[in-house]
Amino acid sequence: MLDAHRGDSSLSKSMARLAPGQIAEILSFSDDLSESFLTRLRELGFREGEVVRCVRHLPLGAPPVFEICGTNYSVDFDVASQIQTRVVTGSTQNK
Amino acid sequence: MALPPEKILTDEILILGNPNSGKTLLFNRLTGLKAKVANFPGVTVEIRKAQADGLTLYDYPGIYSLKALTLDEKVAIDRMLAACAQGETRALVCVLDATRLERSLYLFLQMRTFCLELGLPLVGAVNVIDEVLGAGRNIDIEGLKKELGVPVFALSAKFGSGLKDLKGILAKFSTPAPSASQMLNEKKTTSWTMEQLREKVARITEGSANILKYKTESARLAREYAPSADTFLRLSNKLDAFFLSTWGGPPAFALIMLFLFQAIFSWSSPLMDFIDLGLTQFAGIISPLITIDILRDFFNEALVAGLGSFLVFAPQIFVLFCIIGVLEDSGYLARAAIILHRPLSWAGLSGRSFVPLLSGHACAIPAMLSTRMIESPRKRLLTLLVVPFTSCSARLPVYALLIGGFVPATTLLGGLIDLRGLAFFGLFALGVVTAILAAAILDKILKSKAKNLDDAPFIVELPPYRWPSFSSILQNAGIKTWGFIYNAGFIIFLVTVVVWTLGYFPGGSGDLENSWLGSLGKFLEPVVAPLGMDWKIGVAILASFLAREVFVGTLGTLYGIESAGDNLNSLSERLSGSGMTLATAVALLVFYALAMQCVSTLAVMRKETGSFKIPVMSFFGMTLLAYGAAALAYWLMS
Repeated sequence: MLDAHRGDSSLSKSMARLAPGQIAEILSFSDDLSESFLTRLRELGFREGEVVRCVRHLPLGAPPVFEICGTNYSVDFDVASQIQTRVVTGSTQNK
Repeated sequence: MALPPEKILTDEILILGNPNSGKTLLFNRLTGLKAKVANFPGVTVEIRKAQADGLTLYDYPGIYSLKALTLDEKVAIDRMLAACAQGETRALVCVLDATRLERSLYLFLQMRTFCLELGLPLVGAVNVIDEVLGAGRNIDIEGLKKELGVPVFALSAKFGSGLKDLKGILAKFSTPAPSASQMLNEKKTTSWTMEQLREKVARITEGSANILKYKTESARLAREYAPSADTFLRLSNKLDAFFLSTWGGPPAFALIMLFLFQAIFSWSSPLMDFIDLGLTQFAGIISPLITIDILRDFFNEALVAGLGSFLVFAPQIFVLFCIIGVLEDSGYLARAAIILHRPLSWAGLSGRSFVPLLSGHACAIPAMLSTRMIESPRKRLLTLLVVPFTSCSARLPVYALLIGGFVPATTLLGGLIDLRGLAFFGLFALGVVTAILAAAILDKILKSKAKNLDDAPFIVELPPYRWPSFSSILQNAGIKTWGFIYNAGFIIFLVTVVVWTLGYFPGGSGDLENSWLGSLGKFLEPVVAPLGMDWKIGVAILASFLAREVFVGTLGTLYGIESAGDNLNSLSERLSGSGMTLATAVALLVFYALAMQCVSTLAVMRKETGSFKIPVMSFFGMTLLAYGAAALAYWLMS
């Protein structure tokens, strides 16, 4: 369970910069995200305090895959870069 | 079947749930229908209805919550509220995905609050239980039922298990008996206005506190009553390690696409030969039995040569539907959409545009409807405009006819690649490349002219990989192919009769040159002459502006009249023997690959864009482009 990793470390970075395998806690969202899209993100589980794992980076500049609430999502860099996280644990190697 | 906008029937059950939770499969099971299903979020973009056991069941597009983001979600929620406002709704069924229970419960809890306020019964259908059991786990349904205070059932819509219990409880809503009412909250007679219902939904969905409340509760329930979702991600993650890897992903995608188009030609050949032989034998038996000359000519030239020429190509359409079905069912489509997101973004499209662009190879109409799942209005419009460039199944008979007549049946790389299959791939690639280039150009125009069409960010759920259900894929492909033949057959028959009549009179069989059609064709000949085409091809092109599949039938009829029905060679052989050059054949292929020749597509484009101007411009733009490109191809090949 991702929840087991909550609150271990204090390295802060945007979700787009998480390395494959890294687990992080969501801290905040940029004000540039529209209200309706922010709501959708939160409904899917991307909300403050939730733990997210970067599953893998993809070829051809494709949006990376993140696991949250037991589901994998491909999230575009434009969106992921607007989600601030704190790295909890995890490898920096591509799995 | 799409729901007519104005009418709501009595005793209604509304089926809702997250995208890709199996609502449509459950709907099919409950009603005996064969609505399209796929392992990809957002397949259902229209509301379907069907009668079963005295109830009217409605299948809605998937929603993540009661607050809509995309057009298909807006449609689903608005229509659900309208149905509730009209007071005929007896119950709502929320389909939950057992392998992703936490996310499903978020919507379920919102719906529970909504239903409680309206006094409407809500039933939970925990689908895909087969995968949970298959992983050696289970879900505590009794515990969930007690916590939620509403009936909850575990079922597998794929295998049909657990449906009996659900059907049993739904049956009680057809004639509200006192016992059922006591058990499931009596339906209140209070009627609601849409405004009141929208306010209720806003109270449930608006604000961070609401999101936190439902999210925390759904996480707790999932933790207590279901196995960890990680259990179900392991297999998908392992397969993604290949299909989404740098070294495996792009080559796998290219190979799958190449295989798709190769298979269309090579797998269908034996069936095509069989139908061709069957038709020739059938004509050989029936024709001598018809004693009236004009009827025999009509049978040979209009029915066998015209309609029969089209029927021969049905196996290719069947193979295409089968392969697209496998890709949809397996869960691979979402991965392909993600891999292609960046390249498509360069042309102003999105990874989500990939699914409409691929399904456009079957038919542009459902493909254009499926653009509703694209969040960005600008990208949706762009996708909708370029989908008709993809080579739909109606183009297949034209491609097959000309490739069969002009491309030799040889293989390359030791039999690995069929030259005709490669030609097919080239034509499909031409359609896709043109679609992407057109999107890039239109994107520039839209950016300057329609600044109000805001962009929306890209986020796609990766569905689990699933082993495709081959029996249902074959069944669906059969139904769709038959539907295509049935619908196209009618219009082809009508056009064939008109063409035959104009080509037969006044001189009768064998005097096509001096027929009424001959005169009309020669009048048109200067338009097609720069492409190296004669008047017969010109007439067939003109007739096929109604629907492009008419081309083969029309040409079959024309050659049938010309040879007075004596020449039993296939249409491909007749064409290659008619003096048509390879340059003309290529020009014709290019023209058909790019031209807009489908009235139904234009009608759907008009409906989906709400504009009359857009389909008109699309028609003239695509036709002029097709003509110009065909002329260029002819000039280069000559």
